Amino acid sequence: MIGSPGWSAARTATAVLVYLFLILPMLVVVLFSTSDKSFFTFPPTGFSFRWYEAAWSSGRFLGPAVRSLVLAVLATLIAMGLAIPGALALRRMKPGRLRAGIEFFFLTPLIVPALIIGIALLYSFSRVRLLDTFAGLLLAHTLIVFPFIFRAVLTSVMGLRQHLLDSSEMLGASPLYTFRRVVLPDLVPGLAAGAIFAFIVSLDQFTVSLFVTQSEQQVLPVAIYKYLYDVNDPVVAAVSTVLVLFGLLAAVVINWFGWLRHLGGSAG
Amino acid sequence: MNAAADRTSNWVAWVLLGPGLLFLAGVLVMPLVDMTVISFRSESFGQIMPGFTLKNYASFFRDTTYVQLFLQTFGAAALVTLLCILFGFPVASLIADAPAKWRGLLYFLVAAPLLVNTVVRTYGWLLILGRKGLINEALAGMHLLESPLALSGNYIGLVIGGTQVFLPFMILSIATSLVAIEKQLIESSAILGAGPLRTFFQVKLPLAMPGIIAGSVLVFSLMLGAFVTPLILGGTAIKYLSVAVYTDALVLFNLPRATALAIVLLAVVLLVYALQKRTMRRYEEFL
Repeated sequence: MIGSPGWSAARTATAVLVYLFLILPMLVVVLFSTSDKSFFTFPPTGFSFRWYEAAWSSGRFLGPAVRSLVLAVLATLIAMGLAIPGALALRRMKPGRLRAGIEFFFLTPLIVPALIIGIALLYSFSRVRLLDTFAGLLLAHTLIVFPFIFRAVLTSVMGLRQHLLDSSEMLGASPLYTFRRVVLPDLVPGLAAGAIFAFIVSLDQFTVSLFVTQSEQQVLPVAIYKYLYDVNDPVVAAVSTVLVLFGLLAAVVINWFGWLRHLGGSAG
Repeated sequence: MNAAADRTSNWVAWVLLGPGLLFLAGVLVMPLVDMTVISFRSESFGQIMPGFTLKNYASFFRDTTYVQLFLQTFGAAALVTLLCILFGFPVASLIADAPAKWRGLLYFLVAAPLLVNTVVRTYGWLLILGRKGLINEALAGMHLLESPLALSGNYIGLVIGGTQVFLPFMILSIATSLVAIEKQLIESSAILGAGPLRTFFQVKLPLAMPGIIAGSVLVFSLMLGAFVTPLILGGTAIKYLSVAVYTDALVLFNLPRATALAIVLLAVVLLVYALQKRTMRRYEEFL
């Protein structure tokens, strides 16, 4: 607060503690993964990479990890294929009830809790034999990441400069050429940030995956959870550390595009 | 633009919207409708029976264990929201007042945890709060403790974990409001002789209110629907709505009751969003 150093110092001290609170669980995971014992000792003693080797050779994480990565890439690409035309269409529509309604509808997967999407899909998928299949998993993940992509694309699309599109058309360019050379380059930063975020959201998705799969199509977060309950040794910490680094790397890249602070918004 | 061109443009718009609309109709709307239908059926040995019944919903009002379940879930979500406001405000305020070159880093440190896997972050809390976790081992090592503290597998773990998982949303929301406040307002308040406390309560807090409301609605509804943190840190022994839905559906195979619980949860989340829209409009008119 202005003009009161006491207040200001107290605020900074509190903020530092809150930042520590935010980072603490990730820090503990990373430290525990290099422990040479399978339990906590305080203060920590030796250092080893044995849990990383154990994670690699256990054979319980590699398959789910590959599945999670492929799933995240495919879900993001399909969601982009659905969201880009949708956002471009909304831009052409007159502002009003209909446009606002469609926009809201496209963002509803954000409002409905993942748990409810999971249980709804559990029943629907069981009727069409999509339960515990990769296709079912892919449909579910596409649904989860769609609103994030759509939001990012819509923000970029609304920022398109109409006079550039008009000029392109007047100069005789076909709609496809205009899309490729004028529209797409303007969408790239928002699209890239949205895609990376969607990728992370898919990789993070535990709840819906747990409901629509059993043992055949396990994804990485579910594999981590199952291992935690069966064994619970620092192998989980080693796998988790890889995910921590992955998440932080994604944060750096999204931040580089200048989009990180837009992640917090609600759908409304 | 003439009418024909207008019609062509409309036609193109619907063709472009089509795939997205169809996809959401098939994978979101229809499953939700099916789920609603199932919640009015009864169940016998894991099989869904034909016929219409209200008994799944009726038991929520009659059975005291369900009343307890709802109260404890809402209570935990409200507590997490309150803690997020208390922890989040100082950080948001620091971000808003920070010089531009620091602001980026401060924002980054808040938002980055959002991109780290929720199961992983919750596992981190298990390592800290567990029976043989960091806190218990440290306290035992200093001979301050005879038997380990129960910090996980109960509401303590759930509230601590939930607060850490959802705190970034609150900070980002409040910071957006605070950044928009013109510095002159705060300075004028000080120049006109208001003390720091008065400036805080009569200028800063009212202007930050939209951010606090938006952040609270987001955190409260996210925590109500949260599943990972209650499952891992609370365990199946505690009463939490999302865990009860999971147990009913995948452990007890009582899909009608699980879906009825899910419908109640969805109704509450939608109600909270609708209330937010109204409160925000009122508040903005009031300002």
